[in-house]
Amino acid sequence: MWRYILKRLLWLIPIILGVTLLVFALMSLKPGDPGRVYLGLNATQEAVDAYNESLGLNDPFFVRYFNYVKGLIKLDFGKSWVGGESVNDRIMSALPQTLKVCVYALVVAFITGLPIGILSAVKQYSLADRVLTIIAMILACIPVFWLCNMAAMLFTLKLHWLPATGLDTWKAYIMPVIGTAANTIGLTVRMSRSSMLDEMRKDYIRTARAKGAKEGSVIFKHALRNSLISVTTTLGVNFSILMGGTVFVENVYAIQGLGTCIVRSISNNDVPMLSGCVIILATFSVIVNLLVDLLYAYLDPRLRAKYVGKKKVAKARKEALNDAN
Amino acid sequence: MKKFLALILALVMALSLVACGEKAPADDGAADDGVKDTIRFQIKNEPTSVDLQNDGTVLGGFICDQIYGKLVTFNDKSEVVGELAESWEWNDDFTQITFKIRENAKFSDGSDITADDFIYTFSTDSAKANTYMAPIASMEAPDAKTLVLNLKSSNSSMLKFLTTYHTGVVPAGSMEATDIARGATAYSGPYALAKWELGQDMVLEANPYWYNAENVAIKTVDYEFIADENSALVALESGEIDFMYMASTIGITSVETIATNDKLATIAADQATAGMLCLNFAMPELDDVNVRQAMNLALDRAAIAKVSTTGVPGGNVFTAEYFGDDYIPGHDAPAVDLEKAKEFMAASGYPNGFDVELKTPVMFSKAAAIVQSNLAELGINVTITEIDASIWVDSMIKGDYQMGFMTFGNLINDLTGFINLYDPAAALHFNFDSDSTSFDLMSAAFSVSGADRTAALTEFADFCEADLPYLGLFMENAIYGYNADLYVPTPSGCGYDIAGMYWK
Amino acid sequence: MQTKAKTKKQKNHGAAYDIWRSLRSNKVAVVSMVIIGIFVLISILADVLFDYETQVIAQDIMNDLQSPSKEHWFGTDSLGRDYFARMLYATRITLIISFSSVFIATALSIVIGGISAYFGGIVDTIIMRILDVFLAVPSTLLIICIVVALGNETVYIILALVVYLLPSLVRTVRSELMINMENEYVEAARSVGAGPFRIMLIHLLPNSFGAIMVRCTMSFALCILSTACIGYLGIGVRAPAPEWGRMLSEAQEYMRLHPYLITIPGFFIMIASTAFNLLGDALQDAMDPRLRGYRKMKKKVFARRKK
Repeated sequence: MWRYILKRLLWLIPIILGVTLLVFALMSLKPGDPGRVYLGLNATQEAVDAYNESLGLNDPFFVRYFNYVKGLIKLDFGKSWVGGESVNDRIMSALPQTLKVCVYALVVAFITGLPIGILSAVKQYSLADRVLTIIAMILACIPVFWLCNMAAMLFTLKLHWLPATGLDTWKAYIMPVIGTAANTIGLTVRMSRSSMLDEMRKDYIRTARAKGAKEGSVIFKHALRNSLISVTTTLGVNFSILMGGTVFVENVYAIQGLGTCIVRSISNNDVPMLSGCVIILATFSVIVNLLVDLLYAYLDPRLRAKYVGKKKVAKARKEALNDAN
Repeated sequence: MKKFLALILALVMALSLVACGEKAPADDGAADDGVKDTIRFQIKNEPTSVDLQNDGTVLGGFICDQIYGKLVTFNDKSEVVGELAESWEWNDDFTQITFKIRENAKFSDGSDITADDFIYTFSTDSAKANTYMAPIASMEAPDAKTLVLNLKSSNSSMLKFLTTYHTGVVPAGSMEATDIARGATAYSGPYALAKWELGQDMVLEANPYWYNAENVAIKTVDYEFIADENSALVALESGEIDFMYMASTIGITSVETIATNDKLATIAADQATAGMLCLNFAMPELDDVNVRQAMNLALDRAAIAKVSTTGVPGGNVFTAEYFGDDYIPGHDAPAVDLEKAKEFMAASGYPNGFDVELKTPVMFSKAAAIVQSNLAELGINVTITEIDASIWVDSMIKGDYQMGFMTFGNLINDLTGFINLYDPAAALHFNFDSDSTSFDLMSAAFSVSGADRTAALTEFADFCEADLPYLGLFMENAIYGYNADLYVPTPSGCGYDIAGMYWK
Repeated sequence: MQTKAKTKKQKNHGAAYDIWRSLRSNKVAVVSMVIIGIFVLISILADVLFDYETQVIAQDIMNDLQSPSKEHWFGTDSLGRDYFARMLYATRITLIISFSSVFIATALSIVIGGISAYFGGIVDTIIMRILDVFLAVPSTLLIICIVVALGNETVYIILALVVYLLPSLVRTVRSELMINMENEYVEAARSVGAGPFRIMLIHLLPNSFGAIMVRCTMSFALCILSTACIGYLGIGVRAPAPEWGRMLSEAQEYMRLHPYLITIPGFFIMIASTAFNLLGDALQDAMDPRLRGYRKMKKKVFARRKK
C-alpha cells in the first residue's frame, strides 16, 4: 500500500512541473508590454524598455522559466503586471473563496447525484427513471453562466429569497454552490446510474438473487458498494470540471475568488496573475486526483490485494464469503 | 460499506471545520435597517493599489479621490476652489504660486498638514515622473502653512493640474514607513482607509480631522466589488448595495430598468472623456483633407454615441460647457450630410473610395460596425480588425494602424495634454504634419490665461474643424444608479463626492 | 424480433448495421439524430436562406432590439441585425469548429493511442504522463490559456479544443486497443507476418470503432459547450461573425429588458449538446451486445409486471 502511495506522490512533482512548463510556455507566446501599461502613455520608450528589462522579459526562455520555478518553490508567484502587486497576496486571499465553493459543490453534487442515479437505476424504465434521466441530461448540458444568471434573476429579483452577491451569509452560498455543481450533478446521476446498471447485470448479482437473497440486500450490500467504487474515480475529474466552472459562477455572483482574478487578468493581459492562478488550480486538481486515486486503491479489493499483505487478503476473502450468505 | 460511510462522514466533518475555521462573515453593519450613515458602494473590481501617484487601475484612482486631500478642487460649476488651500496667489508671469494652507487642515491621525508634507509628497520618485507635477521646478516652505511652487515655465494651467488626486498629500516620511499601495499612515482627505482585506472588504471611515468634517454625513463607506453589471443591478434592486458605480458608468439597459423602479434613481454627468476616430496620416488617402471632411459629414454620431456610451454626440473640439473657462462655443458636432460628403469625396484625390482597415477592441465593435456602414456610402471600404484591448494602445503608439478608436480622458484638467497628441515627440501621436500653428498653440495654452487663452483655444478649435486631425465622435456621459433615499450632489469636474452625500 | 430474423433471409451485415438497427428502434436516439440532422441542414442552407453580408453583418441601428415578430422571427439584436439569420450562421460556425476539432482530435488520438498501446512500456508511460499534465489543468482554463496565448483566430480555437479533447480520446483508444490486443486473432495475424500498423488498422480499430464513436459524440457536445464558454468570455470567435457563446455575451447587457436575446442562444446550446450526449448514450447502449436482447426483454417483463 505504501509503495503505491509513494509512487503516486513521486509522480506528483513531474506533473506539476509539467503544468508550470505548459502554462509558462503558452504565456510566453503572448506579446505583452507591461512596461507601457505600468508607466503609461507619457513615458519614454527608454523607460519602458528599462522596466521590461528589469522584469527579465528579454532573457531567453529557459532562463526565465528557471527563475520562475525558483520563485515557485519559494511560493513566490511574481509581481502582477498591473500595478506591481504581489500575485501571492491576491492568490492567498482569493483561494479560500474558490475552494470553499468548489468543495461544497462537489459534496452537494455527490450527495444529490448518487442517490438519484441509484434510484433511477433500480427503477429502470419507470416514469421516475425517464424523467430523472432527462433532467440529469439537461443539467449536464446547461451552460453554467446562463443557469447562474437565470437563477439570480429568479431567486433574488422575483422571489427575494437569496442575496445576489457575495458569500456573507449561509444563504449566499446556495446559488453559487448549486450553480457550480449543476453540470456535475447531471454527470454524477448519469454515471452512477450507468455504473449501477452495469453492476446489477453482473453475474454475481444473478447468483445472489438465485440464492434467494432479498432485493434490498442485493442492491445495498452488493451492487451499491461496487458501483460506488467506480463512481469514486470520477470524483477527481469532476473536481477539475468544477474548478473550470468557477470562472463563470464567480463572475455572476461577485465572489472574489480565483475565477474573478483569471477573468481580470485576461482583460488586463496580466501574465503573472493568469499563470499563477492557473497553476494553483491545476495543482489542486492534481492533488485531489491523487487523493481520489488513493481512495480508489483502498476501496477496490482487487487493487488492494495487489498492494496489501497476504493476511489482509485472507481476511477480506473471509468477509466476502460471510457477506454472500 | 461501513468504511465508505465513515470516510464520507470524515470528509463532511473536515469540511465543516473548514467553514468554521474561516473568519466570521464580514459584518455588514449596513444590513441593519435604520443605519443612516453608511453607504454600500458598488465598484466593478477591487483596486490593486491606492498609491495616489501610481494607482494601477481607474478604480484605485476613484478611491484615492476620497482619501487624499489636495490643494484645490473643482466645484460643480467647474471653477477651481480651495480644498486644503485656503487661498493662493500667482506672481505676474504665472511662474510662481503661493498657497496658504488652512489652519485646521489635519491628517486623520490628528497631526497638522504642513507645507513640508506637500514638499515631501511632490518630491518622491513617482511624483517626479508624473505629468501633473512635471511643471514644478522647485518648492519652498517659508512657514508651516505657506507653500510656494516655482514652475519651470509660465503655466496658467497649473492650478487645474493640482485638482487631481495625483497631487494629494501624505505625511512626510510615510512612503518609506509603509507600503503606500496598501494604504498610507494617515489620510488627508474626507475619508480614511479603515480596513482593506484583500478579496474581502474595503471600508472607508470619515476622517474626523477633515477641515469640513461636520458637514460630512456619510460616516462609513463599504465597497462591494461586483464585476457583472446585471448582478450589480440585481443587488441594487434588492437593496444589497446603495450606489451602483461600475467602473465609470452604467449601461443603457440598467438605466432603463431603474427608470421603472420608484425606489431607485439615476444621476447623469458629462465626463471629460472624449471618444474619437483617429487617422494615421502616414496613409496618403487619410492625409487628404477632403477625404477627412467627407468622412466627418458621413458619420452618424447619434448612433455611435448610443452604442458607445450613455452619452451625447461630440464634435471635433472637445470642450464642453462644464469645462468652465476652457469652453469654446460654436463648434458642435455636424449633422449627417451625405450630399456634401459625396461632394468632398469627389473633390478629393480618391473619388472612387479606397480600402482602409479599422482596428478596434471589443468594446468599440458596435461603433466600428456603424462607422463601416456609414463610410460605405462614400465608397470607402472599411475592414474591421478586432484586437485585444490590452495591446490596443500599444499598437496605436507603434503607429501600427490605419484608423482606430481612441478615448482621451481627463480633459478638464489636461486639455493641453490632449493637444500634445500631435507632438511628433510624444509617445502617442498620429503622424499629423500640418503647416498650421497647432504646435505653437501648446505653449500658448500653457503660458497664457484669461482672454488670451480663450483666443488661443478658439484658434485651435477653428483649426480642428478645418483640418480635422481626428474625427470627434462623442463626449462620454456617465450615469450612475442609486437608492432614491440617498441625496447625491451634482458631480464636479472631479467626479462624485461621497462626502457631499447624505441619506434623506 | 428474433423470430422474424430467422424467417428473413440472413444477410451478412456487419456490426455497424446492427448498431444502426438498434439505434433506429430507440426513440430517444431517433429524436437526437433528427435534431442533429436539422442542425446540419441549417448550416448547409444558411447561405441560401439569408445573405451573409446584408443580413448578418450589416447593422441597422434604428431597428435594434425588436422582439420576435412575424418580420423577424427571433427579433433583432442590439445592432438591428436579424437574430434568426445570425442564429443560423452561428449554427454553421459552431458545427464546423466542433466537427473539425473532433475529427482532428480523433485522428490524432488513434495515432497516439495506437503507438501507446502497441509499444507499451516506457513509451506508453511517457505518453500517458504527458497527457496527465494536460489533464491536470481544468478544461476551461486550458482552453482559455491557449486562446489567450495564441489569439482567438478560428485555427487556434480548434487547436485549443483538440488539446482539450485529446487526453480522454487517447485513453479510450488506448484501452480499447489494449483490450482487443489480447485476442487470439492478433496472435494469428502476427504469426502470419502482418506488421503492427496493418494489425491496428485492419483488425483492432474496426472492433474499437464503437467505443471511439461514443467518445466522439460526447466530445462533440463538449466542443459545443466549450466554444460557447470562451465566446462568453469574449475570447472566442471574432466579431462580427456570429457564434452562440458570443451572442450570449453580447446579449448580457440587454438581458433584463430583452431576455429573448439570451434565452434563444442558450436554448440552442443546450439542445445541441443534449442531442449529442443522448446520441452517445444510445450508441453505447446499442453497442453493448448484452443489451440488445436484454432491453426488449426487460421492457416486456416490466410491462407484464404492470399488469
